[in-house]
Amino acid sequence: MSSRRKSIFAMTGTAILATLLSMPITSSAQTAPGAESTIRQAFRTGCMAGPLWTTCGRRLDETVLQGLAHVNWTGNGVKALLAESWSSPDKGKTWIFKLRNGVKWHDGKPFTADDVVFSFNTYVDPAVASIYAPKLVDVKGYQDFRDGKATSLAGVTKVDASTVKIELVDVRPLWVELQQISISMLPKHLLGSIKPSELQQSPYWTQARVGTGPFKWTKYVPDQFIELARNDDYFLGKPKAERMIYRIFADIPSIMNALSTGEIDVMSYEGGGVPVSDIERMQKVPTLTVLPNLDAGLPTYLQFNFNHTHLKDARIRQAMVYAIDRDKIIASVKKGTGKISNTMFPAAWAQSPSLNPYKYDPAKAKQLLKDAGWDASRKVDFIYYYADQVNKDTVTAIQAYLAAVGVNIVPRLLNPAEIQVAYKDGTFEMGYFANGQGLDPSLGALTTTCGAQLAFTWCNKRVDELYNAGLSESAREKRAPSYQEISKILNEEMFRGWLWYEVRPMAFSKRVVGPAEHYSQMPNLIFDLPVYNEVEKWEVK
Amino acid sequence: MTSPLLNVQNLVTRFYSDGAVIHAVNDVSFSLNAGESMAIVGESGSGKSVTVMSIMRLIRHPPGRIEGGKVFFEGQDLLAISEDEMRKIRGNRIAMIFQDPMTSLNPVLSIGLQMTESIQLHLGLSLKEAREKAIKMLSLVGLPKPQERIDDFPFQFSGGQRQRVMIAMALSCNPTLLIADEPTTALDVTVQAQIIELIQGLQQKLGMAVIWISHNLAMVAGVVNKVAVMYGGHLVEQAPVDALYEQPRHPYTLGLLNAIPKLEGRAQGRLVAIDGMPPDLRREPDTCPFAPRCIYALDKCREALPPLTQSAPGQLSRCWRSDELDQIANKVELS
Amino acid sequence: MFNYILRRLLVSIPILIGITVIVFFIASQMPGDAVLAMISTDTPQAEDLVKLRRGQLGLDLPIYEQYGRWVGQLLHGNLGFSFQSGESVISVIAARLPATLELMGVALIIAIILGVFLGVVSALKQYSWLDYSFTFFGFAGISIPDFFLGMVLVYVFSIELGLLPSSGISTAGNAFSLSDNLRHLILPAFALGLARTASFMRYTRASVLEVMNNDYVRTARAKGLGERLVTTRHILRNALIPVVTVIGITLPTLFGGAVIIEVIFQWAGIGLMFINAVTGRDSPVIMGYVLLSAVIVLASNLITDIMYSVLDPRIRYD
Repeated sequence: MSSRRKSIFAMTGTAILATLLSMPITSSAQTAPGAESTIRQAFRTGCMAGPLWTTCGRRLDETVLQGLAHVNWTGNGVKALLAESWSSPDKGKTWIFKLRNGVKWHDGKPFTADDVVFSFNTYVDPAVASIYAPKLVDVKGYQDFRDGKATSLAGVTKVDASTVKIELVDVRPLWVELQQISISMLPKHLLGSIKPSELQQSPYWTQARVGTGPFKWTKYVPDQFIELARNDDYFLGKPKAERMIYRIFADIPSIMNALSTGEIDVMSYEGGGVPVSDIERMQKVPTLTVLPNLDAGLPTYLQFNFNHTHLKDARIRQAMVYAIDRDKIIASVKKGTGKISNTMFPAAWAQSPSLNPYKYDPAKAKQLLKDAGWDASRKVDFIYYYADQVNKDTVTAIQAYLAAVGVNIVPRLLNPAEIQVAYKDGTFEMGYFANGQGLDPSLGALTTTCGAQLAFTWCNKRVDELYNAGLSESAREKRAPSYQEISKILNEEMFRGWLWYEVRPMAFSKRVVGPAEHYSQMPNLIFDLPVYNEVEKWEVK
Repeated sequence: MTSPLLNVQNLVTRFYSDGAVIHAVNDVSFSLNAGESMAIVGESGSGKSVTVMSIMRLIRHPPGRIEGGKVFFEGQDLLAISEDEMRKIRGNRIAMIFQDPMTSLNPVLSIGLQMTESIQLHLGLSLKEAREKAIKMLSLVGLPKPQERIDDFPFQFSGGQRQRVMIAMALSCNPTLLIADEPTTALDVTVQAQIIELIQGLQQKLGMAVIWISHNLAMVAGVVNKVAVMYGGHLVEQAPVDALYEQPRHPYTLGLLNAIPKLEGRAQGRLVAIDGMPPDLRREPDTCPFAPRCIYALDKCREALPPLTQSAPGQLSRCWRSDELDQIANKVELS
Repeated sequence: MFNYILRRLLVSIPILIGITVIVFFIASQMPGDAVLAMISTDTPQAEDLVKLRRGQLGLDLPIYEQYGRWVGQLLHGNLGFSFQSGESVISVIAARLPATLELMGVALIIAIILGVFLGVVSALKQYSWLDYSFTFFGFAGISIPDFFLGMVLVYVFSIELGLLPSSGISTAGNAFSLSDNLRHLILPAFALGLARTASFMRYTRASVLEVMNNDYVRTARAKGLGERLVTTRHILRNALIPVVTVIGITLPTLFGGAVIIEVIFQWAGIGLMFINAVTGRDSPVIMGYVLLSAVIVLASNLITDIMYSVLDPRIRYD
């Protein structure tokens, strides 16, 4: 190797190195201070399809597209947005919406009742195949439209340019608070002429999602980011931030990295929060606020398949919960992330004050099993599918505790697709699951009412009655007794072996004032719904 | 008498590997006049190739090193000049051709390029001029249609043709000394004679000196003026070729001559081989290297290295018994 | 040569058909499908929805019919539409391909320059401390998995030292600037290129060592050529021929490695696109990616073979 060659290489190498190092070295210096304020949020891949089809794109949609009224971030009631007010002349079977005046779409065209009628019909149109169609099941004409007997919803009518009438099939006092909150308003003048079966292919969703919200669509770079600019004419006031950017990430570790290096300000919670193992690390980063105990509203439980006779005796199920030291598991395996649950409803107002706490008592568990005639030699098929280490360790711990009292479970890890099959066929005896309870206890009916597939043949007529009673009133104080009684029944009968409520830790950059404050006020994280989060008030320090 | 073209004095070359020292060339001296030809013969491992590689200073270090002696060529000691100056001589004043022309030519370069690169380097010609010279050389060595073949690659030639190319390449800068390291060993028998004739003819035409390296004494005998015999890294005998044949003064030379199959005479006799194994070059060269195999060996031979003694002008041998060799050899033969 | 190229191109067709058939079949055997990935069965009336959507996407047809539809579309120059986003697969790929080409290209350049250089130095200075340390580095580089290296680089340079961004192609929302792009490119390109560097280095070293001791190198020196000319024209010119082949063979692994690196660094290229498509069972995108990478691999193999014959006159195709 001649020395001339060596020196050429050395010089080239030094030159490259020098060029690279001379570039600005801090990656967080993305906006010149004071020049403009941009809020950067994390967004997950595969959530781009839009409010008609995707369950995880809400944090984007709630800033661009809006509904008549969105759920408040406090979980209590709704904020009137595109509807100024609404009323029901017949205690909830008919709803009259008065639309807000002077609202314009981001392209300048006025928002009118035509858009509302168009939007409701689009959600239900079978050719569109929206997964939120069932939210409008109570609207008159829903079934005919779905079956092809009609070409629109009979129950949705325009009264005048700023009034819409919705007729339901029955009295639903909470229809506005619980059902229509999933629906976003879409611009008829842009989407009305597209064939419904081709709606998803329209470039509207990727190039120019025109809405009415505080931020308007500027640019979408596939797999990279979505850029929004401030809507100066927003009807609730000009937003404080100038731009909002949603950076697209495929997995959580990259989001954690980007948070700690200051590349993003707000993380997403769909699909997971700060992993338990990272909480300490994130807490050490001085620029971040960490909220380690945000309730995810996700009760985790032991699932029983009541088709099997040996699981039908309530004492057996109660025994299993007594046998598990839940406090210990939460403290050790889950590193403190979780709150013991003894019933299905996470919301405090829906829980009976006199729930049995099922304190850890293996002796009592053994006694109950003996009384119920449990056969200790029996092996129980136990399925689960959360494959991360914390959950695997949890299942192992559960297995140990149960074995100590004579219940031998044989855990089987399935992948998500196999789980669907197992659900359908009922080919399991017990399982370890979590199920989002959503915003309102009434949604618990999905899994507990007699005949529901996820009830696995459990049936309690009283519970069904109570659910109906709960939905017949709209004031929370009037509804509470029904749910509290349900919660007590579920607690005593242990229809599911209640374990704990999951938390979803989150972290936010201190650079933006607003996100951490609003999220910490949520009673539990709200999934799959647009939330009114006062985004227009978030500002960059 | 003019000073010799090449004068090798007390050349010593050693190789170092794995802690062992290999005495490849021990105190070798010989000289060659301009236009003369000589042969260095010996078996594999005798040091003949290492000797000429040392003259060319092509010994790679590691593992080898020229450790002593002087090599005077055209008046200057090649061992004392700088590498840059030596490069001006290699391929230019002294040229070398090697044993296997297939592996000795770069397979991915055209023969034209391989020739012009040294022509341009040493003679400073332009590419066009260098190509013309190369074509001339190719026809000189008897290659048909040289202008068509100059851009061909080595694999497109036969063995004999390749060797001709090598010779043309070596001679293109008109060297005064050509070293031919076993130039015919890798060739067919029929071609061998052609190549030898070619080199001989060129030697006379161009007036250069030639050193032939060979393990086949018979082959080179007809071509050279004098012969040097090497064994075990030592020069054991040196003599004009006729004198060597008539009166060998070293038992090894005698053995070589006896081992040559003869067509006349005792044709029905067996070939007389030299018993024993080749010498171990790791041993200190302080005793006669041939002693273990020598049928005339005395104790003295195993104790001390015989000096090179001159028995007649131009005739040297390294044997304690070189003077009595003709007598004892006959005696042994008759018995 | 022309005939040879033609033959190779013709042979590629059944190969591509075979690849697409196999991948299509395997992908269809994955448990779950695109629709189930989008709609959870907790949703009331999920069954009707699932059926409806599957019908829309053509997932209720038998497999060979689905494949036939795909091929039919392909022959019309249409790669179909993504199940997840509805965009045409061609535009999905076209939007992301340049990023991957940039990543792979730079990684390959790094690997070639560094690998060949280190290999040559290592061989020419055999047994020196330089050689030993480069060889050690070579073993380490081949043994360390791409993703591990990527994660270590992110940890050291991005999180701990804060010198470079942790992910992405460029700073989101800013106008494109080359220096910003390059800053984001450094870590992933190194992570992807370093393993290849080690492999090229070993091959180059072995090849140079072998060539170094060849007779024609001795001849070149005997002609009085300087070391530089001997090294470049005689040693390297021969030694690098097999290395070219190795580089060509490495291209498919570069593709695979790019997928991993793109996921770690959120590099918005076709590798990341592919992983998202697999997770979402987005069959049209999966097939589009497979077809594209198969074409690129076949093309690079062909180009490598042609280059080989260009470099080595002893190799002639007919």
